[in-house]
Amino acid sequence: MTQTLLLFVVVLLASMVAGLIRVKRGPTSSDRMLAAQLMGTTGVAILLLLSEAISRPALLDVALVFALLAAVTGIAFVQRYHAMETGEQE
Amino acid sequence: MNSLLWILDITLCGSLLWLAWQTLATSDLFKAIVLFIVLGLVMALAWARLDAPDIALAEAAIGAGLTGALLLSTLTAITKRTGPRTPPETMDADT
Repeated sequence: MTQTLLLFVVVLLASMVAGLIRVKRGPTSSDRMLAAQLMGTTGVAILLLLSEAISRPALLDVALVFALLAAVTGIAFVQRYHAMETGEQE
Repeated sequence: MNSLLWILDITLCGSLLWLAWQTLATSDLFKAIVLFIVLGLVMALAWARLDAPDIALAEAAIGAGLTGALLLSTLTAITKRTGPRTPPETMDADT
């Protein structure tokens, strides 16, 4: 069971590394930010699986903070996008 | 079990080093901010893997979340005030 969970963790981490490519060469800023958001979500999944696999319940709290703060950066990006658009209209 | 944990650790270390280098080397400010956020996320995963969940908590909260949001709003303020940023090399050449 632990083996299976660790295998899933490795697969999720590989998908995170694949997301790095989009951060590196995403043409627009939205691509980059969305890849970062996706990596935050993947990080939550990795932490949940890891806390079960190496039996550390404290990692659940870290997963919670991950989920919370992915939203904060997303909101900051949308605010920036909005500010740039209204700034151009003036 | 050991081999999978090894793969996990090596992937974390490699991506951390690559992210740190890219964050410092890139000239696009927005790209550097996103890379910094992702670096904070991977760093928090590394702390979690190192059995330090409290440091992982602080890293995720401050390093990735708050600092990322603050840097993004700072970049917005700078861009609104001075327009699109000119590369520092040309500024150095002028002065």
